[in-house]
Amino acid sequence: MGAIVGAFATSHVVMDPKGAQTQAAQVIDGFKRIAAAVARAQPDLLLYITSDHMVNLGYRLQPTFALGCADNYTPLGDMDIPRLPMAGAGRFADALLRHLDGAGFDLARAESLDPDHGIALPLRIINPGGRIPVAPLLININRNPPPSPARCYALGQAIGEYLRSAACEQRVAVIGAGGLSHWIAIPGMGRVNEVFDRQVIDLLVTGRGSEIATWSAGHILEQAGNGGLEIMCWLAMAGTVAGSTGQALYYEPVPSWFTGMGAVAMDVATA
Amino acid sequence: MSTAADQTRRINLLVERLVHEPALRERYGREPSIVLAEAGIEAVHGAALASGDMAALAQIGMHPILQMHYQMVLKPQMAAHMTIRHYPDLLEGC
Repeated sequence: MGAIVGAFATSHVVMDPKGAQTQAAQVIDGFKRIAAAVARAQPDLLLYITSDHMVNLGYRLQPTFALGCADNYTPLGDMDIPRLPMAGAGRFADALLRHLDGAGFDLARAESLDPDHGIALPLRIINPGGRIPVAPLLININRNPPPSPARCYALGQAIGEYLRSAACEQRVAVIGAGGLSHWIAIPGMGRVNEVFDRQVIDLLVTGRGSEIATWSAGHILEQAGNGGLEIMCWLAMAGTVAGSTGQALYYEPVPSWFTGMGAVAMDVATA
Repeated sequence: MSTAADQTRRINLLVERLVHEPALRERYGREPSIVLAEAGIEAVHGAALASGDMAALAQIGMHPILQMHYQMVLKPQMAAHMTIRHYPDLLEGC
């Protein structure tokens, strides 16, 4: 019988801490608090849901969702992230992909991925040494149109059903990574929508992710920018533990990084 | 003469290749107009592409994320600003 032993969401980047030392320390502390919770939960693997920065899911081929099914990954190395291999949860990912196929979510199978900072940066702290096998699930928020919040939440729910089923044999920690509001190379770049970011966090930790699922992608784009669409990854995570409440680990608007940063931990006991 | 949509598609496809193909990237640095012509991109877009100005790149339809990658193609030194080197916890792992 499978189990979800942890569910978290976090921003997935850092920038120059100069002038933002307090906020930067909060971000690193957030990674460490997730790392500690993961260590306590002792998962067999991490299901890591995030966006790709058009490294693996590019312009030529634009699948909506892709699941890494490899047995190991080597980071791309952007942002000077060491290219140290991390274990992949290939067998688990294969079984999950087949289950989702039958549940109406035909994900692209990725037999090889070059994890960019979206995956590799937080895992430097959350999964030191890459010892816990990782199944990376990419949500392509850069395609036009992007997947809807409802679709991402439903995907999370379908994943959650599998993770708690007899068909799954592993204890899994789910991490949704990306966000919060940021505008990348579009009008509004530099803006941070603190009200929106705090609303997202509040809805998630009060067990109301389903309300976010009623929003349109256009609403998120308008309120949180194209980078803000990365909250779809948080939403998919929330879907795996639908109805659960949780705690905000921190929130920091960081104008010098052009983004709002945050993290949450869900109470999986209420799932 | 191709349509605006076709030009947008060609521009984005070329940028993606520039990101992934070091030899093409190096050649683009030496002879951009030839590379653009080979990619079927009309010369009228050359100024915007050479400028790297984000408003100009948006005007010709370059994807925002590819704009970020393209900045690195034009100005590789920009990568020095996107680094985890300020963070020992990330650099060394915990």
